[in-house]
Amino acid sequence: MSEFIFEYYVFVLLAALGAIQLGAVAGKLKGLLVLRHPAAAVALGVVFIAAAPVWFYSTGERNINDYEGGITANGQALYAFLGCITALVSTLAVTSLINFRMGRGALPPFDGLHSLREASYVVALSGNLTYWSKAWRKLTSNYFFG
Amino acid sequence: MNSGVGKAPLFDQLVRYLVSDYLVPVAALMVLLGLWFAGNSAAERLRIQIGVFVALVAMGFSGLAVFIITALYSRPRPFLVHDVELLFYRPTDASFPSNPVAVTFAIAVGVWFINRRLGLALMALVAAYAFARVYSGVHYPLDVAASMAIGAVVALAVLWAERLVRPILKAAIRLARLFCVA
Repeated sequence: MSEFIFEYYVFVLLAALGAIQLGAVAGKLKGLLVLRHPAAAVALGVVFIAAAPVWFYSTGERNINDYEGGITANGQALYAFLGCITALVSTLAVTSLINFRMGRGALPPFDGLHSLREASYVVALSGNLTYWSKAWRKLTSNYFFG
Repeated sequence: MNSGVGKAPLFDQLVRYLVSDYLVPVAALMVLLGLWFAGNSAAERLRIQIGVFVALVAMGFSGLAVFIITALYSRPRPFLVHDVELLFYRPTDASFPSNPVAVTFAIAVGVWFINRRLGLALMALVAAYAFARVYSGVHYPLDVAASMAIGAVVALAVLWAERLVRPILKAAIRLARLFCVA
């Protein structure tokens, strides 16, 4: 991976961390917030989103042709995807630790992201998988095709 | 439009950032990423996530449409034909249509169907991006105008076609819900 590609990946990663925080505030997903207070989470998201391009464009010349060290369109899509996935996995891991005590009661199963309003990711996921493992035969047909 | 280059160095610098291959496309993707988590009910979340899917597929198909058009018709870049003050590198592909403008406008139209205000804001940003591509000397105005039209038509076509695959989409989103990521 060239330095330019790595910097582009970090640029997307930082921006994606911010976008996830703003999206989580909009969706009231407390289990995804790094900072408990929504206003603080918005501020953190804005800082990440603003810092990403400022850092990216202040650390080198970015208008470079593909064959002179730039990134092809397909490469941009690939590394943007990787940056977004890394940001999502990092957010889920960090917020699972920070909000570990959230939602340790009964949660409705298969609520998806909605369950992160009341619970941390790890709690919601383990609740879903436990429920699923107990009743997977019946649930499979109803859940996907019912 | 390119004749203004050099008269306002600060504005030229701003255009250099805006015209970049990375700033506006990444901004459009971040809007989609943020929207994925928005929504105040399960039904609204499903509507938004289907919209995000439509925008992403429209982005892909717009790129394909541009690829096909450039294979059939190759218009030389303005800097190869005219005396132009370039604010960008010298792209080697055809001038018509503009791939980055088409794909980002397709995303903007997709976002417009999810959230009107956000969609309009993104369309305005893509319009500024299109202006920057012309101002910096890498496209003609017709190239970017046609690209916006391509992006819009492809997004509308994908939106129409989405109904045909909606059951599969819903099943995929439900599978993602099992893992709490949708």
